[in-house]
Amino acid sequence: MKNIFYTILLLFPLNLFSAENPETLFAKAKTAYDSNNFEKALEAYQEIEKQNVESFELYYNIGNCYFKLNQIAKSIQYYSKSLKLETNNSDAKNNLKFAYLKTRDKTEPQEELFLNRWWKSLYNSTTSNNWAWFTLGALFIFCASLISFLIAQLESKRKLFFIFSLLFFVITLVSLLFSYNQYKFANTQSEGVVLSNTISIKSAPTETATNLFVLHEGTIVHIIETNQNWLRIELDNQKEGWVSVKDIALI
Amino acid sequence: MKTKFLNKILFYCFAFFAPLVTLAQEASFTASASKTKAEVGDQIQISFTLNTSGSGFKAPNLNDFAVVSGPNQSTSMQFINGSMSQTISLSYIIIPQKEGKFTIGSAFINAGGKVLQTKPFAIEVAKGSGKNTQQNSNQGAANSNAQVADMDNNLFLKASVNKNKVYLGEQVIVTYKVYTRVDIVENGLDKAPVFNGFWSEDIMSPNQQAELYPEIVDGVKFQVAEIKKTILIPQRTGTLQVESMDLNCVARVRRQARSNDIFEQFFGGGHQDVRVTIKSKPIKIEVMPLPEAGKPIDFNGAVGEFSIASKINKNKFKTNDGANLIYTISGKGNLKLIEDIKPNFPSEVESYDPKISDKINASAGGLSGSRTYDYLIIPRVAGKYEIPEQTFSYFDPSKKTYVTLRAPNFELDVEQGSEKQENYVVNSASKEEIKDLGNDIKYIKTESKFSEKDNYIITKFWFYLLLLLPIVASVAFLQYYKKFQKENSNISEVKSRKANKVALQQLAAAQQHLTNNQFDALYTELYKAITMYLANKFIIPVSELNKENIASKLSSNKINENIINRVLQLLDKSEMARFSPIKETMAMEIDFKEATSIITEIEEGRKV
Repeated sequence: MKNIFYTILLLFPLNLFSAENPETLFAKAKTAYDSNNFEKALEAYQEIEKQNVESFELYYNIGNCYFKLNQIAKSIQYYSKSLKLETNNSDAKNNLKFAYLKTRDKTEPQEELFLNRWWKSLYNSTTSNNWAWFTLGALFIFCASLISFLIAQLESKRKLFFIFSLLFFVITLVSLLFSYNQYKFANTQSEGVVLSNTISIKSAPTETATNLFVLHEGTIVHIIETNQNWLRIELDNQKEGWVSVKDIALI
Repeated sequence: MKTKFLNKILFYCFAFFAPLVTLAQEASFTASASKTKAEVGDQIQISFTLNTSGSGFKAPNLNDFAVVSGPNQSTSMQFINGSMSQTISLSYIIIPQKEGKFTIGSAFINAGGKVLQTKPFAIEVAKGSGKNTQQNSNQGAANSNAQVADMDNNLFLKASVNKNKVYLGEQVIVTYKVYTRVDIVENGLDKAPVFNGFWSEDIMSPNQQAELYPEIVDGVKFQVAEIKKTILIPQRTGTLQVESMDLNCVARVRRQARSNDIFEQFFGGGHQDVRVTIKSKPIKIEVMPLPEAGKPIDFNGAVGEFSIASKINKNKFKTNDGANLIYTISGKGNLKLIEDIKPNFPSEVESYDPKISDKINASAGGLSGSRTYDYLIIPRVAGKYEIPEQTFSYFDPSKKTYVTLRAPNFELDVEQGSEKQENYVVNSASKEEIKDLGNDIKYIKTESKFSEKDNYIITKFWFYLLLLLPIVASVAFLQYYKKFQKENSNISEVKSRKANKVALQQLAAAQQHLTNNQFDALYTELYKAITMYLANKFIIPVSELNKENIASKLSSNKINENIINRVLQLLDKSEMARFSPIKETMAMEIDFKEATSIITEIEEGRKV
């Protein structure tokens, strides 16, 4: 509780200094976007981003701006970012598909296994924080029903409370796991998008290493290892190699 | 006699030497021109004449003129009174190119061992009038020379069409014929005709060798050659003009005899090559639009006379199995210009653009032949389909009506093939993607709720404290509850410990009643003593004190069955004694002892 207080206290002066609050900036950006002034809209959105806040809509709109400005790699990065906040948003998925159409390398991300997808969409159905609050609620109910089970005199009531407490025990554990998973998912940058027009993928994390293959702007890569300023990346078709971190925008 | 003889000798001598005398005669080599005053563009003939035989002719410089023809050599021999004279003439036809005074220099020739030369002469050239020039350049050769003066009548080009009034799209055949009465040494196309507003196809090109045949025009016999024949199909309505065609010919003309001398007539004069440009007259063709009345919807511009045939190579299919559907349109008319027929294929059947093959001949009768549309169709989904009948309409210019032909419909029976339909699904998906390209990305979101970045409860310490809270609370509660229960149980222990005491007091009171022989009072006291004891001992609320409860409570406290029975019997007896009229005073002491022994035994059992 104290932490919340502190964070609010910390944020307060920040908001005082920044000229406008996110909502006004968001509305301003919309007006600019409507008059096809995508640069101005993008500036406003970036201003919001600087205030250390985020939302699915913010990332989605930034993606749209970049798309309109023909910066496809950036738009892919932001659409992907928005999809991390709302995994199943069809608009973002649709726009991302458009962005992929403009990329040169034909490596549209593969569909994951059904079970993985299902599991992912389950824990991504709400935010990590919501899952945390849910855990807390479930834990309360579990405790209450456990106590009831312990002090109940009648056999039938004891049975009922026992099942109840067992159920809520499981729910507590699962939602805690989900909360953690969602947090992990939102904070791990396991993917990246190629920013430079053309990059050579190296066999080792040095500038002098052999060039293995070439990637073009907008291609999605999976990051499997980090070594100082180098990333070890893998493509959907199992090809892998090292690339300088400055050429990749992390998602 | 002597003189006669001398004369004779002289005669013979003369006769003998006559040719020599002739040779000895002064040889003359002269130059002449048809005119010495000319206009620019006029044709001038210049001739160099030698009255004896000669060789090694050297022409003067004619650079200031364009040489149209020459040197044309002609030789003539004359015998006059037994003496022969020979004349060699070399002529040029020249055209002055610019105005001024030009000198034709000397020409040289070797004759009789001597080199002879002509006298130079001047030609004065005035500025020409354009009209004259044009005419002259075309027909000059004929004009300048009397012999070729009526060339126009002897050599001409005529264009003719088989129809002057046609419908749009109807074919017309234009023929170019050369009529000639002179020999044509060579000919070449100068200007090909331009067919503006027509689609054209040559039946015969001008390069091919033309056959000559005689034809009589206005009573004069001409040799005629068809040099070009072209099929024209008008592409727009109105009056269209077939432009002229120009042909360059070199005609070999006989030089007309200059005198009535038999000898010359007999041998015939020399001949002369004349270059002539002949032109055909432009032809006007009136093109009528096709009638609007009765025009079929599917009319695709076909004009002529056609028939349609169709065939399919199979009717029974498996899915993803291809078949060829072939439509053939054959007949006479503008086959090459008709729009493609478009069959309506069911949507479940994939079709590709047709392979079109033509077998079309251009002949004197016009364009005729056939055009074949070969459609590859691939049914993708099992079922029964129908390719509807295909109509084809054309305009028949001879009947002046539209005609609609029908090719029969086809039934397709498609069975599920062995392959899965994956192919089709993939195909349709890619098709959809292509369609997507025409769309745009979705619009931006207009409202948003922002949340603080990197604010995860799960990473906060207080969250775990919060999680511990219910656990701690419930442990605390349970602890408290246990204590409470314990205290509660202590109270009942005190009670049961007291039970013996209370029972003993009651029993003491009962003993007093026994000694006083108070029957009712004794049993009342005994009943009370037993029940109160049990109520205290086993914590049974007074309201629940009945025999059933007591029995169950005792058995649940693991009291001997025997004792339970004795308790119940005693309780029965006490109740009976209290309400029965018969007082069995004898049993009073036994029952009192029984009550005491039961209580003692229960106490002892408890202790054990």
